[in-house]
Amino acid sequence: APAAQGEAKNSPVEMVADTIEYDSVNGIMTAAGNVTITQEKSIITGTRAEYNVKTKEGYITGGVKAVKDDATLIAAEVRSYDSNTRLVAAGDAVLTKGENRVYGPQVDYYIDRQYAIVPSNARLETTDGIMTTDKLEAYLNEDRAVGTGHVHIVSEARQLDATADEAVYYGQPKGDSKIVLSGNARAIQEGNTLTGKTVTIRLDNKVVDAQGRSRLVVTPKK
Amino acid sequence: MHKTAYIAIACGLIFLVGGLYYFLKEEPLPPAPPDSQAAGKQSIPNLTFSGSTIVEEKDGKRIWELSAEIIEADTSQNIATLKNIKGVFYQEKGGKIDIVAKEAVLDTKTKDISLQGDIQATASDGAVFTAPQAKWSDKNKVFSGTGGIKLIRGDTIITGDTIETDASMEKVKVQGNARVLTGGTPNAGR
Repeated sequence: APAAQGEAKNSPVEMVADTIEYDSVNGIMTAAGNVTITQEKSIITGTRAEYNVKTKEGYITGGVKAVKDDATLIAAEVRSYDSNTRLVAAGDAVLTKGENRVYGPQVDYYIDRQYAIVPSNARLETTDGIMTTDKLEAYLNEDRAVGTGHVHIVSEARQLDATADEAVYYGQPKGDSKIVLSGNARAIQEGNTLTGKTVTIRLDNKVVDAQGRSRLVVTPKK
Repeated sequence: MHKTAYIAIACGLIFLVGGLYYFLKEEPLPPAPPDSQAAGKQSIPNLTFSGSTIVEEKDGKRIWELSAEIIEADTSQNIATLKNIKGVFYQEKGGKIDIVAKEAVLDTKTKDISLQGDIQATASDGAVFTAPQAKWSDKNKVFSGTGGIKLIRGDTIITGDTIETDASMEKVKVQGNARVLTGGTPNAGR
């Protein structure tokens, strides 16, 4: 709830490390060695960190791991903004939430909104399969993700291989997950190929429907 | 050249060589006198004052002042031991630090001060620093604290094994189990 998030932003920040230098004039803490920054339920660890108590911005490097509730973000470095409620992870960043995992050279994670964006070379792993795309936006609480640009989806569980300009993955409701492909949509499932402007793949009951001019090529089973 | 001249030259040479040998040959140093100090005998302070103040000034400007219930000065060792002290350290920017401690030892040559026992230093902007042991280095104008320190400044609490801070306690370096708690309610985590 917004009130709780506001409180989280103002809650104390604790930094623990082997060594900490604190410049109270500029409000800058510099920590080195086994660094842990804790605020409310979010914990960030790394080997070096700098935190500005005035701007409430931090910069943590060295095998960084940020954990809050059931989400974990790991990367080479993380910059934190807005009292650690917005994290920009760079360097083989991986955001894990429940069974979903988002990869990218950079992952911007908005903890309050449970929203993450991977600006380039994105990859999303879910129980339904793997999506790679230029850009990915993940709405973690809704279990929904939008891939934009060179979308490629592979699901071994469902023998599916699909491509499109854009794709929206709906992981909810459980048992009725689906993917909506749009723009040069093409889906191959168990040898059958369906192309069209928009193609919707219902993952759990293997139904694929297409809107706009579409074409289905069925390969007879031997 | 006459015979006597040769004899004179020969005598001179012999005298010269003999002198050189005397000066250059290795002579064992005389044995060091037994170190009476190390024989466990406490150095007895020469001067004892009570209810006095020691002041350090530079170019007419007061750097610090230490007043104590008892001051024992040992001029041979260049140290003064102060008991139950109250001190004031004046900062360049006009602020000051008031300090209390059970004991202090002042090196009258280096002007370094070692303090111990319930040390509490309070800066004029309200920052409070406590430590079991502390030291003021006059040369670097740096306070250092050891034995588990704590510095509270506004809503920031800093703890750790050792600390080094400038004269105004604005910039600190904490080493060993360093912890900073900042923001939130003023009494959070006290």
